Amino acid sequence: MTHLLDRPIATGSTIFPSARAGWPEAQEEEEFYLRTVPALSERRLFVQLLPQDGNLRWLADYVQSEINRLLSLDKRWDGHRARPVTDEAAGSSISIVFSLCDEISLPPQFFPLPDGGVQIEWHVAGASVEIEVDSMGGAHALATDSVGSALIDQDLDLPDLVTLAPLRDAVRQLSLRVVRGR
Amino acid sequence: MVEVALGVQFRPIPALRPVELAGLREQWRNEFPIVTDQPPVPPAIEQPTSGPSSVQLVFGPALQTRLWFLGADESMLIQVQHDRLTANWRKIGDSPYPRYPAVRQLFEDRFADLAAFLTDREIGNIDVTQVEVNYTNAIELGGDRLGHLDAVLRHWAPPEGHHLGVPEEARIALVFPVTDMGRPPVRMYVGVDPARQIGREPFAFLTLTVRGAPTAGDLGATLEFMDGAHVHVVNSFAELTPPEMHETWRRTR
Repeated sequence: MTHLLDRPIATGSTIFPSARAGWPEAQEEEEFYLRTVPALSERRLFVQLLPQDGNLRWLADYVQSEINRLLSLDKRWDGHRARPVTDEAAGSSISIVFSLCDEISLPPQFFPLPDGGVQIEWHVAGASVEIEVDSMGGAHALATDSVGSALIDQDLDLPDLVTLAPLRDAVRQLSLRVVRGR
Repeated sequence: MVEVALGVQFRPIPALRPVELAGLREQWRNEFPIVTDQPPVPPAIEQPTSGPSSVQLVFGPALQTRLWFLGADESMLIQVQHDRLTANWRKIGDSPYPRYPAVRQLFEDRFADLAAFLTDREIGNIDVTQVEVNYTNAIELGGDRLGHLDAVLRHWAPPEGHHLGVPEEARIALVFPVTDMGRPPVRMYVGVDPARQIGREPFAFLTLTVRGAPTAGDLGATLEFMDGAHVHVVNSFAELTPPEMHETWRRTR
């Protein structure tokens, strides 16, 4: 895959506006004026990912979009008693994905969890890697092969990249199956 | 010349929201009576061309905006958002370019104002991470010459013998590493972009932008970076453009 180098130029100029389209959204503007500024504890956060490696710009853009989508969910987003996704869960999810992915990795799917956590999943031909990040940022990983046998079933110690090595290999193997199949 | 922008990006200050900037608006009201909202500009940080994979995570409130503080004739502009401060001069009508020292002074004064404002209200401190100096020129090309970059860049040779003839439009981007100032990586970007505007001849924007990290996050290092960038911009213009443009440059810079 080829990634064109896309560098923002003259960001302070008013002739070449480079602001992100559609952000902030009209609904947020309306809320701002109708409800004034929410209390600090209620304020909705967003994330910006600034990759140090230009080859991962595509992943940063994708993860940023997905995590912000989850962070925008209000409480009771499931119609029941679900909590909003927490900052801790969002931060851990981003750290995990960037610890596991490289240039050939498939982008994972992200799902909110009712406790405020995040579920991260890769699925290829029946095999899968699933990581459950709880609302405090703790994480558990489960990797299965195509017949459902567990290959990895462990809690993740995030600062310790050694414990992530088998998981990184599992994600890479899934990605290679797709790349070779193209 | 149609625009000069001297600006910085600093570590995000989430509490620097429009409602907090109301006090600054009062302070600047005499010089900048017009205030408008604009979408925020995302970060643009010079990255090394290689190195270990890592990511910088920035959390902030979603309800951010960028405020424009405009002078009465709208040629002088201050842009403020939760992680940026930029001073612009823009050619509006026949407004003369006030020259680099005046725009630099405008930036320096507003930087000091904003820093004092943030300190007084215990909102935060400005820790500069990137400095950006941008000069934009609009160069008349006339007729159907949007494909003639040789009118803008002295070293450009139009393609000869192409079976479709001369290109209808042409644009170019040059990126130079700058190694004698700031903390690497520092880069200069030169761009030529064709443009059309109702009621005038076709023209090209020639932009020269220098961006990178200063040697420290304070005002002194920021101004030192801007001064160095200004020298590179002036020298680059002289080296890249045809001699006949230099006289025009001298008349306007």
